[in-house]
Amino acid sequence: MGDAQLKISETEQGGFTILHLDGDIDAHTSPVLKDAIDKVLTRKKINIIFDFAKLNYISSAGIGILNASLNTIKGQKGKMGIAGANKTVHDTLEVMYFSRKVGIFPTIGEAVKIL
Amino acid sequence: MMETKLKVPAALAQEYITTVRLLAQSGKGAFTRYLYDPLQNAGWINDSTGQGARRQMERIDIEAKDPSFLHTIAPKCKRVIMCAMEESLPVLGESVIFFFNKMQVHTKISSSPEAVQFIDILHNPFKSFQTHTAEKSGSLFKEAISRIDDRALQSALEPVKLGTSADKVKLDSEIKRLYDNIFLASKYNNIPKCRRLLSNYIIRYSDDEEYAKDNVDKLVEAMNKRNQGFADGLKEAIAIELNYRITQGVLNGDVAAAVRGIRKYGYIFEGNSDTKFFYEIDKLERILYQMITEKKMWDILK
Repeated sequence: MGDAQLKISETEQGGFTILHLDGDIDAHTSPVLKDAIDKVLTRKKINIIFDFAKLNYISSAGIGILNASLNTIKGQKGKMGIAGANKTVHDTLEVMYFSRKVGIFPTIGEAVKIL
Repeated sequence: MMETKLKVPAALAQEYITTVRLLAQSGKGAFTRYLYDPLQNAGWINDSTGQGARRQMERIDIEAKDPSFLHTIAPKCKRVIMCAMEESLPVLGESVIFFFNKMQVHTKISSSPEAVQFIDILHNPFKSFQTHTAEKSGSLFKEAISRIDDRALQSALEPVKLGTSADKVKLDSEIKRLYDNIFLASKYNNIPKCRRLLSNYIIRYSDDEEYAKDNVDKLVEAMNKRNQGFADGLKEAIAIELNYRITQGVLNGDVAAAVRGIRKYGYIFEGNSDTKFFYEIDKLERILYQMITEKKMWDILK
């Protein structure tokens, strides 16, 4: 689908950088995600929570990028989590076995508290 | 029109082999339209040598072992194909694949005028076929997946699980065997074989929980030091092979194979948009998830 869009904004909470994702992550929008993560990591911010509350769709292209970021973050002794995913996105993460690698939380607050 | 090439890249030869295979699966009409007719129009027909194409290929295989014969292989492959055009479509397919395989092994063959001309003839028809397949694959996939049994789809999505110690031992021995085979192939500078060995291994095991990624990366790095461009060629080879498996799955209605290919592609290339077939495969993935949602299958897939 060529019309997919992804908007990303950034906030800080409890020592974590929160990336709020709004839209779809597929082959066309995944570079936007990669850029956003790279920018955060360049600033040596290695504790990241992805807010998926407004994310409608994620493909393996997006999961691939998240997986690569997770490896980088782990390598730098940082922390990463996902919060607020809707059922379909949550299901996709589970079926792709990504939920075994990263903590998935109902809310940002819980993610900050537990991570 | 394709830009004039001085040499046929190994990845292109490999990609065209998969195209010929897909053409064969698409039926006589497609095979004739996209392969036979272009060759006939280019005058690659009507050579009478008195020997059948298959017998000539056996002879070439023997001669190819002698470096002094290398410069004769490409003209002979052309003659085989011209001969096969008269014999039958299956023999034509075999002889075309034979020539593409030979191009991947010897630079003298891939840079021969015959090889370059051959690619020039087939470039546009093959591109048309690929476009045609890509356009209809979405609807074919959707149709096939709506018919599939839920359990079959579930098994297609499950990665290789190596839960038992026996399985882990097997994987350990596989990586050792891979090392040995690559060492042997690289000793004889058989780069296509090294690429094939690694490609098969990565496709088979990359979504495995015990996949020895670091070891594989080291091997690829070592090969890349010896042969510049090896790593890129390997990635391309993997993408071509997975795209072939996915397209084949779609064309044959084998949704399980298509889904497995999509998942492996996702794991291996980790969202790298520079990867070959990245957007085509992503499109199919969206259709797949849509179907899973419509069939309310998420829960049984977990």
